[in-house]
Amino acid sequence: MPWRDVLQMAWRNIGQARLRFILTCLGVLIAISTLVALVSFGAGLRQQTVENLEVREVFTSFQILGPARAQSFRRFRSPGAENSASSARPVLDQELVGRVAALDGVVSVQPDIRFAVRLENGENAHLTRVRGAGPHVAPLSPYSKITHGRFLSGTEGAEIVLTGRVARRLGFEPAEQAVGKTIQLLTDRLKQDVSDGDLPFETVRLSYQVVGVLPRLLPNQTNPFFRGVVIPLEEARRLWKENASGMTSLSGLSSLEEGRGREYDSIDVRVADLVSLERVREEVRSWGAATFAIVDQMKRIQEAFLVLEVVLGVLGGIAMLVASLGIANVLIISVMERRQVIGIMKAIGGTDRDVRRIFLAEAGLIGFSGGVMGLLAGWTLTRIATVFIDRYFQSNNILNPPDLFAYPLWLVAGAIGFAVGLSLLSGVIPANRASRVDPVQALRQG
Amino acid sequence: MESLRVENLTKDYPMGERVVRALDGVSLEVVPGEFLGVVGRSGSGKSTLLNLLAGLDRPSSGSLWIGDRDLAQMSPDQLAHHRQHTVGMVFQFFHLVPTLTALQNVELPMAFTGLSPGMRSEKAKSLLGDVGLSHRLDHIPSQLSGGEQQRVSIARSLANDPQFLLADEPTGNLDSATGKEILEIFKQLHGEGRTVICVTHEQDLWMECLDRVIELRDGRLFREERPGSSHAAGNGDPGEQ
Ligand SMILES: Nc1ncnc2c1ncn2[C@@H]1O[C@H](COP(=O)(O)OP(=O)(O)OP(=O)(O)O)[C@@H](O)[C@H]1O
Ligand SMILES: [Mg+2]
Repeated sequence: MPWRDVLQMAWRNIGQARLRFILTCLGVLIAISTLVALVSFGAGLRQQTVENLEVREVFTSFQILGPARAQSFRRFRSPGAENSASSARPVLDQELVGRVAALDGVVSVQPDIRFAVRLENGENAHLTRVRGAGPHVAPLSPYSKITHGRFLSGTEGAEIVLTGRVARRLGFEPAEQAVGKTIQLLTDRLKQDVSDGDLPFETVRLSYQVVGVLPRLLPNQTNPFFRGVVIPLEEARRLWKENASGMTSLSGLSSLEEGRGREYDSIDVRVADLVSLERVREEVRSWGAATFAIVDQMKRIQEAFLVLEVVLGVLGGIAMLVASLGIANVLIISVMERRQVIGIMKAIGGTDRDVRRIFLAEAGLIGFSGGVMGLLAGWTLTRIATVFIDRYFQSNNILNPPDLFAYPLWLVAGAIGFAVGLSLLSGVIPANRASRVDPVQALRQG
Repeated sequence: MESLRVENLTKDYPMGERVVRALDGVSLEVVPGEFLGVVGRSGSGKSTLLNLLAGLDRPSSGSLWIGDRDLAQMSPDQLAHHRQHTVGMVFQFFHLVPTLTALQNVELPMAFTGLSPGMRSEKAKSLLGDVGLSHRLDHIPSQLSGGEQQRVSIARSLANDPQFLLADEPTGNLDSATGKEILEIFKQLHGEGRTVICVTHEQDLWMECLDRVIELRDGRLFREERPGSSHAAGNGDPGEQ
């Protein structure tokens, strides 16, 4: 009997006991919708993390960490950070920048410049850290998510990008009002000639125009390399060279006084590709430097989500197991009820195989229908959940709330495939029973 | 056209520790185009014989030759092929699939043999037309009278052009007028050259068209009679009954 006819027969049989079919499908529906909602949550979380960091540059860059940064990154336990305290550690200065730049596969080496400043807007003042950045980070989160104003136009100029929080501290309410305004930036600078008893510092006051304000974002939407208030890179480098804030160690100060120049907090290294990343990093690490690459963190995050997805999947799987017991049960009853029809089919030329296939097809159809409906139900469920989650985020002033649920093709295909597969499996025993019905006996009972 | 030869056919049914011998050493030859009647009391083994001929069941011993092929030695697939192409069955209780329309019931055996849907439907319509049911194609069995159901089942038995027609009390569940109509159809099918083997209780009704009647008693061939000629032959006592 051709498959087309088998399916048609099965479909007709199902139509004969519609309520029973619907109830059985409902079991599959519940299981699959749970499974789909849960797994799509895991997939959504992962996609959020991956997508927002999934910028080529992020994966092909790493940082050489100075002692302070190595300390703060230690929680990521990146392999290089562990020997950060070793005395053989190279100094993060211009010479090291040159050494790294000379390595094969390195595209650019840029010291990360950050220092504390005081921002003023009339009466309002706020202490914060600024960092230098060029337009090359504009496509990276969070700068790509600027909703008010724009990002810095170049590496020079009196432009500044604020975060929403800092803007509010400076008296801009709502924060986007800051765009276009001019604010004051105060920073300390080493005096050229210091007379005895005098502080070695003086304060400089500079005017900057606010060109953009960053929205508040979830931690997973921001790149740990870049966040906070930014000014153009060369501007920052000039100020930083003379800036003494954050230099808590005497050695730092003395190095300044000795004219050796200040040690960088960290150095950003960009390489051509992932292969170069590993090679260059290995080389730099062999010099004793601590490094951090986002790929380390990505691996860990992906592992965590994989575990989450597996756990959630198992829960849904158990629900599906219960549903398939229901399918087996319904089909076994159906075999008993249809003994006579099975006998008739065999008497007029149906083979055992035909009969088995018809019942398997019924199981498959139940699984398919339940799977498709479960997918739709699960999707609807997560859409509803999203509405509430968005409302929650918005009430907490988080713009661009993330979509926590994702429906990649593998999830759609997997959910339906899983439903059909398990249903077929639960149809095996009933189908075999059906195929073994003795037609002589079955017809005798007519 | 092949002849049918039954040799020393025995069928035992296990009943707990005992066995019931439903057929006990039956030997028989049916020539092509013959119209054979099978009679006997209830429980004498008539249906058992028919089911064995149909390949629905396997004999405990003995052989069943269709031409040079022995049903007793066939694989399950070969038996299914035999049921599909060589024999057609008609039952006392019609045994139509209750959820299918008349047309779909007649199409079913052709679905099993893999005939294309277009050809199936065409053939089924023509077969139903032959038994006078062109106006009942889309009725399901419960919407048909007993006589109509039996016509559908006859049309179904002919779906794959079998040489043998096996009928188990085809008029046993019908009133005598309707039974006569069914009988006419069988006569016609026999006239077209088919070999018909018909189990019946109503010898009087069928007598006119039977070439030969065999009577089973306790699973044995008890008597054999040719209604056309006056002489009877058998391994039982011809004087009895
Ligand atoms: N599956 C079975 N298990 C046990 N005994 C059976 C089975 N099938 C048939 N028999 C027995 O075999 C004998 C012959 O049965 P069969 O159905 O062939 O009789 P029959 O001549 O067709 O009777 P009827 O005229 O009532 O239809 C009976 O005694 C019956 O009880
Ligand atoms: Mg019988």
